Amino acid sequence: MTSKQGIDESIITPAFNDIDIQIPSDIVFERVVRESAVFVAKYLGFDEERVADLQLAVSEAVTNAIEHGNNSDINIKAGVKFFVKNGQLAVQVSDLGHWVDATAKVETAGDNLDIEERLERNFTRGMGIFLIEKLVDNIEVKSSSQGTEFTMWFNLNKNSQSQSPISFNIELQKAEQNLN
Amino acid sequence: MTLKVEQGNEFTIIHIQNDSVDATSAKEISGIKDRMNQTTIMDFGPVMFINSAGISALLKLVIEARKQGKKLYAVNVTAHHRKVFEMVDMLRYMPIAKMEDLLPLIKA
Repeated sequence: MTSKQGIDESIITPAFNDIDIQIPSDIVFERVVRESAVFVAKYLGFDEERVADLQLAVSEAVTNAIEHGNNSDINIKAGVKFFVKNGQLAVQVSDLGHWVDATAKVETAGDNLDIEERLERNFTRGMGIFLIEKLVDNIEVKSSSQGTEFTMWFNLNKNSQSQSPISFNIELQKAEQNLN
Repeated sequence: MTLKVEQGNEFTIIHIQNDSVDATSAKEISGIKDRMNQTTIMDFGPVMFINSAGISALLKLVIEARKQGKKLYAVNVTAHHRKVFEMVDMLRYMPIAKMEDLLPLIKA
């Protein structure tokens, strides 16, 4: 049975309420979120491969937030929110950084990955986004001078055998706008 | 110590002993480039998680091996990590093998 929103309502999702995690911006705490992501994915019934996909995508997004968004300043927190909406699990990672050219960063992340060239440029952030792009169903970026919200969406009614094209929703907000 | 290195005349086996290959273990992986041998085997036995920081360190290592004319193989790689290695073109530099298939190389 499909709803007006195109959601398969025959999928039974366990009861879920938002989970908010705040971690200090030191890379050692990335693991806190990574392990939480595994728990959430298993709880929601993801198969083993999708659990691993989600774990890696979350790790990459949180690493970006810590290292690039918050410049590894342990006094600044990176935020991670897990929530379920419209038949999808969303993982929203927030930091204080501003993606000046977010559209270009995401859209070019998967362009003909020449790994040697990327390594020579030390372009590891590009690799992280490249991996996220391969592993998630949708990406949404909201960025302003106040900070960035990077949201990854994972369809709940999907297993590792059914791959669908990713879509992006990138919104660069004006400097004076708040993220909230 | 996250790595255990087993050295022979013509081979090196690098046993990764952590469950994660990430930013924390990347520095140690980068440090073993001078210990590679003609045949070098990376054993991913206990590894449950690899991210881009770990992949970058591994890629630097395998590209260095290629520059030095050395052969690098990966063993005990999970299906998920095989998929990720394929995504980042790692297998071009470090094919996945079974340990038993490599035994003739290290016993030669």
